[in-house]
Amino acid sequence: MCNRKIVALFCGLTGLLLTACTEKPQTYTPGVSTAASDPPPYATPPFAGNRSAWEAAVSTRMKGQNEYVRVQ
Amino acid sequence: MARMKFVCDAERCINCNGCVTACKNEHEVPWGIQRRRVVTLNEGQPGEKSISVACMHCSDAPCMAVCPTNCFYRTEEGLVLHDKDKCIGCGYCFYACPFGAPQFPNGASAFAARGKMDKCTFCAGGPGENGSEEELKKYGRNRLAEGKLPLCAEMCSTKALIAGDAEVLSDIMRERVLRRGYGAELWGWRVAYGDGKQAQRGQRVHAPEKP
Ligand code: SF4
Ligand code: SF4
Ligand code: SF4
Repeated sequence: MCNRKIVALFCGLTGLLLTACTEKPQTYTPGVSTAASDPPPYATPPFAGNRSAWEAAVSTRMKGQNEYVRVQ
Repeated sequence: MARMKFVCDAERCINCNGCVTACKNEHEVPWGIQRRRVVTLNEGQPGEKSISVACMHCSDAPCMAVCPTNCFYRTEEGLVLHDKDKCIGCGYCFYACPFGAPQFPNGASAFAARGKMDKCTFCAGGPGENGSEEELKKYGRNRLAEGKLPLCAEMCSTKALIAGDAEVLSDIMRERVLRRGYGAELWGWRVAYGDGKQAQRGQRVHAPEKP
């Protein structure tokens, strides 16, 4: 009898202990991205925060796609 | 810098699949996933046309609208990227995308068994440190952070596929069309980047003021 009580108590306590084990906060706000932050492309080396240098580099490549400009 | 876009000039694409191969190799894209594909219309008939298709980084992206975990985000450059750590592989984005861009490593398996969605990143990686080992593994190389353009466009031998700022791309296309005198149609442009009325529609979110 006593053993049964102990077992029942043990089971009850274990159940209680485990209930919240896998629960994580799941807040969802519509329209707000849950993605982790992503630094802008110019933030890290080789540009290290120099936005205008990055824009100039990308812009040169963009304009270079026009072969009429490149070959004349 | 305005908004990054893709243009595929159907008059120039020769279906060589150089863009597809370049993308596969650059990002070590796993077997079974195609971030970019070449589609040929009326194959074998006179006047057949080929177009290179990947994520167009839409202005009003349907994938972003349907994702139940909201794991998509838009960068300053107008790129539509997503966080693989938040993706649950439901496949909604695949059904919503007009270009079939989102891909799943486990194919058409059941809900949540598809694996994490993978798609073209405009060679801009994803969340996390630019150019890191982790970013490379999850999203591929971050060429944009190196001051470079998408490799698929840079490798295109006929320059059918061009990538970059909308204004620069328009200038390039305008000059081409004026010189050759035909082929002004931009495939997918309207679907991806809208009819110019999206901004107006977006402004109508407020309820009308009460008299
Ligand atoms: S092409 Fe598809 S995946 Fe890319 S932004 Fe548009 S809807 Fe999303
Ligand atoms: S598969 Fe991933 S990215 Fe696509 S809608 Fe589902 S959770 Fe979002
Ligand atoms: S932009 Fe980069 S990721 Fe996208 S199709 Fe081209 S090479 Fe692949």
